[in-house]
Amino acid sequence: MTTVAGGGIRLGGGGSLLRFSGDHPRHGHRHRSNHVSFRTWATVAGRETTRPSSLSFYDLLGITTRDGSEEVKKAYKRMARKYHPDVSPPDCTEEHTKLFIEVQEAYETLSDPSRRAEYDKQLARGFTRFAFTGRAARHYDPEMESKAEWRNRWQDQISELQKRSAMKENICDENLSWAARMRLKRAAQASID
Amino acid sequence: METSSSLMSATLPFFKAPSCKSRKRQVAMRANADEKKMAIRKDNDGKIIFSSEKPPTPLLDTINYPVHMKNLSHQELEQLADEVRTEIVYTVSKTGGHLSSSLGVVELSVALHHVFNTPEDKIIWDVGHQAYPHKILTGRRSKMHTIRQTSGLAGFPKREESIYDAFGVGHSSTSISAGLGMAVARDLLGKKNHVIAVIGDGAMTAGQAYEAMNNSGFLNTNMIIILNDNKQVSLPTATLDGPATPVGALSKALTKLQSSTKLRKLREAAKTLTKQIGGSTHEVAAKVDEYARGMISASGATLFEELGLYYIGPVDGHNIDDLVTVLEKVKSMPAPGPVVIHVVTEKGKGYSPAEAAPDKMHGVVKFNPQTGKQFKAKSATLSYTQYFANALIEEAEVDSKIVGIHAAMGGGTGLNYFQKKFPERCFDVGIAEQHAVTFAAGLATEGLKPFCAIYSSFLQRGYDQVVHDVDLQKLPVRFALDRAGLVGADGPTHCGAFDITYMACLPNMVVMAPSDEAELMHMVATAAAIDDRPSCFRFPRGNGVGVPLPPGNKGTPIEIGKGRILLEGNRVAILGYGSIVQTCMKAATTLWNQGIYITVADARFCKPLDRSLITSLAKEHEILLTVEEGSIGGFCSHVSHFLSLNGHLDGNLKLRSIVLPDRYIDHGSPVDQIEEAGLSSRHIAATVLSLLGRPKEALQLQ
Repeated sequence: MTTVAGGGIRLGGGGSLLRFSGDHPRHGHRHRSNHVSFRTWATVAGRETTRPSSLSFYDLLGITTRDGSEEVKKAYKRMARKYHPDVSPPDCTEEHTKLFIEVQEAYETLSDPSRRAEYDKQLARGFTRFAFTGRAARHYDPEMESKAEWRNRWQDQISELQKRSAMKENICDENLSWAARMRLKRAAQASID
Repeated sequence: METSSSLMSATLPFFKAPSCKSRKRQVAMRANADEKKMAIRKDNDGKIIFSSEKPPTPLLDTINYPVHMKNLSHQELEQLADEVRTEIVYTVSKTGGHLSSSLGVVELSVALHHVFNTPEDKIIWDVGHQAYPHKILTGRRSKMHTIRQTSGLAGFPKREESIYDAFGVGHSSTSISAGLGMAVARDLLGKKNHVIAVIGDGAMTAGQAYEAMNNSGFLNTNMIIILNDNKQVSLPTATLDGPATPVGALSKALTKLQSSTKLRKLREAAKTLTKQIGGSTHEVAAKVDEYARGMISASGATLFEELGLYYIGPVDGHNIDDLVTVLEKVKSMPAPGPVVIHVVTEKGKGYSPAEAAPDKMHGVVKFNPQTGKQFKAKSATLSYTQYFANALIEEAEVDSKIVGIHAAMGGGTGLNYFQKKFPERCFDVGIAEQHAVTFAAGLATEGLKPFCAIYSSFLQRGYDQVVHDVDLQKLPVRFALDRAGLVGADGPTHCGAFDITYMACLPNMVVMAPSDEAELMHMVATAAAIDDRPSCFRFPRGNGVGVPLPPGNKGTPIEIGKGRILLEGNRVAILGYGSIVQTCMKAATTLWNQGIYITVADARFCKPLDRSLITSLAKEHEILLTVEEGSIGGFCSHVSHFLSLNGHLDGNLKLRSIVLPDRYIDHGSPVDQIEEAGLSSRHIAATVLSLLGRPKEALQLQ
């Protein structure tokens, strides 16, 4: 795995390259899209990753997005054997352990088809990582998913309603409802006053 | 206040105790938001820990009226919701009342009062037992410990109690109608306030809700309807063995709205497709949404839209961010017309004993906040409801044609026991009394023996059906009217004052009332035996008096139109109807101690009257008192009408009737209400003494 070794990651010591932000996306964090439903993500070296070339799960495992589950499994076994704390050289133990954990996470994500699909979407938007903390990472949470879906849905419904609401009610329309007639009367009165 | 601040300073040494209610302090408190957050204790899962002591409520202490909530941040609103929750659990644990409905709408109440400007904006809570958070936030927190007690707060919104209670609600499904009225009045008067009606999915099963939605879609006034969906249609939405699915097809439709995975997948597919071919993802998604909503998420949303209401949702009803966002957006729109916001909540949310209980701890007596265990008083006798259920089960064992019908009140009417024994013969129609009555009439035409168990005050809603569909056609439907007479803490909204009047005026109806639980069982048997005309019997809230029961709980039919004499005396006779006969007996004991021996008779039947009994009482006594726990126009009126028609009032007879006064009796303890109504044994005895020319002794009665 050539891209990772050497310059890519520098872990341990002072200032970890990977920082996890605990803020909810809405509170001011810059990001590309508004439809992220994840609670935390990582920034690498204080900059947002906008290119998929650095440190995606696929990079970690040394595979491509087109590789199937068999490949994913093989790659994981390979990487795990490489970074396992028991077999790593003593001066790299700390780094390797961290990598091992990340490889683990990569495998968990990419081996589950729905999680992989989600990750691919994120990747397309420019995030190579999402680091979970807490229970959301452990398994796919359908409740969180549906709540997020609800939010998307009613946000759309509200914008539709805003459009409808802003449309002028035409006084020449024969089928005006009672309230529409009242609103037009009030508006006419207000403009006279 | 002192105790709570010392508690806080014990745990947080650098937190200054608030000294007075002012804006400045709010700023200081906001700065210490993190410390404040620690005031409510939570366990590792983020659930509030409830204890028997008064919970610390630093933020709620600064809120007296909704105007104090305007400047709170979303985080503070969440904290406020937590504090309101602990306050409700603490208060209801001490007073008893309705618990879980209120817990389910804590976030909704906080969000509504934060976004809107009550009392100019009107919030109408449909069935008011969920309004405890509303009352807490609108200036009545200090009086919450008096709720449902004599001279205390009402258990439901009441216009006379507060200007923030826009409409008096106790029976369900009226909020949209009332809200529409307020919205139309606003438009006619040129005002600009908002009108918000909160209605539950259970209340939606009533016809009136559709009538209102139909009309509001037609008129197209600006109005917000919040559909509070918690999958609770009946009380409880559980059988004796555990939770049950809500009755009704509407619930299924609403569930589909919440979980339309197909729609989601379709939208996602559409979005991906658009990304690949270019173009505005948003428009495509909206179009797919619109199209697919009709196709896939199906009946629910389009039902509202067909009625002319714009549907938004579902929205997570326990997420204050979401609620506030949606409400503010809708509030700011110029002319949306009527909008339905579908909010999903959980009844009893935040308090695990309530979430876990099959009946969700809907109505409780005093309980222990830590465990949720209620302190139910042990009684020697069961409730009248239970005796009724037992008797009906016995009748149904021998007669397979007997069926039970109720309107979403399986627990309250005792028919949940009937349902357990005869699951195929018990029908819960949802909150739909009109339908229940006509449905029973339909069953009766085919030869079945339907027992309609509906509370006296709730049957008012199905009255035309009783007259037109049952009585006019002389169909043998049996009505079991529970909660007849004064009902105590629930107050006038639930008071069964009028059933004798409205039933006994119907030409074909047999109207009877038992004076104790054994009589009740006999009357169940009598009603089962009356197969050529409709019949009804009423019984009160409360427990039996302790008379011996018929063997095996199986009653024997009484001869129709036959009363009985309980005590023989002279000069004075009291003819009682229903459970008030027990009070008459007590009055007789009081008078016996004064050397006055009166006759006490139990009329049993208001229709047909026991003419020979009444005639003999009239002929053999100077003074005849008729007593009932009902309004004017009931039993006493029938008796006086009979006596006058037969010339018995032309002689020396002194006839007096003791009925409920011509006004609504406020909620309170049953004893207080009886006193207020003038129906206690003391009042009866005093009336006798006055009539006997001994007014001083009347005044001296204790």
